[in-house]
Amino acid sequence: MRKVEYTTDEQIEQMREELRQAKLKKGMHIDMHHVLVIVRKTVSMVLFLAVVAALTTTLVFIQLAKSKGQTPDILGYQLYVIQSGSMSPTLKVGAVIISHIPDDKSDLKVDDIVTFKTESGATVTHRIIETVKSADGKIRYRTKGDNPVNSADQELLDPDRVIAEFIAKVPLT
Amino acid sequence: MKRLKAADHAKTYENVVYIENLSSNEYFQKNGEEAAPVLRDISLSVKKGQCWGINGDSLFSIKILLEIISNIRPYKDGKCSLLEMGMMRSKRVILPHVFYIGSPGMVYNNMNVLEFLMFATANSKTDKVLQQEQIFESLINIGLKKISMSPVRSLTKEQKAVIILLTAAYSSSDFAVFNLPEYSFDDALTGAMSKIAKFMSKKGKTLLIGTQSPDLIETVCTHTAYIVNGVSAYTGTVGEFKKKYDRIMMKISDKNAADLAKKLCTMLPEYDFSVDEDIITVRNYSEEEDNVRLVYEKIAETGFAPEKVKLNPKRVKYACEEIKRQYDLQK
Repeated sequence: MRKVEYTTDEQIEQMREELRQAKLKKGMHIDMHHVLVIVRKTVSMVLFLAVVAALTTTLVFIQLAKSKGQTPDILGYQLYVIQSGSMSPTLKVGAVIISHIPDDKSDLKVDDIVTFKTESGATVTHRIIETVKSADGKIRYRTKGDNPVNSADQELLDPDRVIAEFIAKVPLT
Repeated sequence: MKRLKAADHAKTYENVVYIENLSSNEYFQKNGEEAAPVLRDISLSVKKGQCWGINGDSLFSIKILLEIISNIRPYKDGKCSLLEMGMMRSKRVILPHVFYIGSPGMVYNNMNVLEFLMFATANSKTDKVLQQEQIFESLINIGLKKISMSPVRSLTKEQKAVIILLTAAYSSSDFAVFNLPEYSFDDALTGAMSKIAKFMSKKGKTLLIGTQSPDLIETVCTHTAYIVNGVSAYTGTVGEFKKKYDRIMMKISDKNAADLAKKLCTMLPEYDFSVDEDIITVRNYSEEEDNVRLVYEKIAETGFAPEKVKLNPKRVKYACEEIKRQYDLQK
């Protein structure tokens, strides 16, 4: 008959010590892991909420502006859709551009692209090709579409008629 | 419609086992007598959280009954339901919510005890380090410190059986059947089984133990059933069993035990006095409560001065002896 190999007190104490060490190690690991998980979840949630809030606000502002017949304006930034080929090839027909209202409309520089109202009331986006100072000291701009077939606009642009200054073109538009 | 699974159902039952007039397919045949079923007209109702000791005059009867209850052996007649669901008479499947212990070979010899218990409970969602600590400390607390990390291959079959019982306690099964009535357990293992049974009861688990050891029933079980010649002679609580069948009031030691017994017989005809060497065993077969004072008074009247008088704290062992005696007398 096989003799039972009894467990000694030393083996029991050794196992207890091993378990104590494992608990300590595991305890730290669990805490760090737990903190990281909480941080990751919080950041993700905040980002998600921020994106949702931004999109909702944008939609609301756009709808409000459209209902009033105004250009949508979010925190001074506006979106325009290019409807003619006068700025081609820089801005093709259908391109969406982001513009903002300049701080000082009389301080625009040559090569800036601006969106403005013509004297007849149309909204046009052209590039400033020359700054003209009149006899009374007022600054005016000469504008022109980038399309080589275009000649410079006949009317000089009064700074008051500038609506927005071009910042960027929305890619893939 | 959602189908109720057995495991879900197990949470809602009250009757774990319900048997009514059950008869087995197996037969006994004694010399020259007609063949009789090993079990006949067995009725039993086991409720959630109880621990039953199934006892009897035949190991075979006990084993067969527990196998039928575990749904691994078909039965001939009667009703048998497990967790309030009927069992087909011909079905031989161990149900997932029943932990059946029918052999000590369920433990793996290439592991030590703690490793095996961790392996057997690997599906638990508890943290492994905490679980290992819990199992290890419980092995020590129930009195199995000496074998807590011993190789399984070196254990006796009884020790292996108790380790499997502990596995049942940690398992997800709501009902465990310990069908090893041929085993005898020493005091340390009986104590461990008692603690495991209490732990199981606390968790709402039910345990059925097949045994012929009165001491095991006394220490471990809350209820017991006694089968004599295939018929249930008693089913109920262990306390009631002792009260009903242990008729021994006291034991009197005296050199002249036979003379003293003769005198007491005439003075107290309602009591039974049996003599075994120098010891008189006093039994009370009347419907009345034991009247110890009356017996003391009558002893004093006889003029004898017994060397020792020991009152009997009711015991399962004596109740079992009495039930066998009664059955033989009735036969």
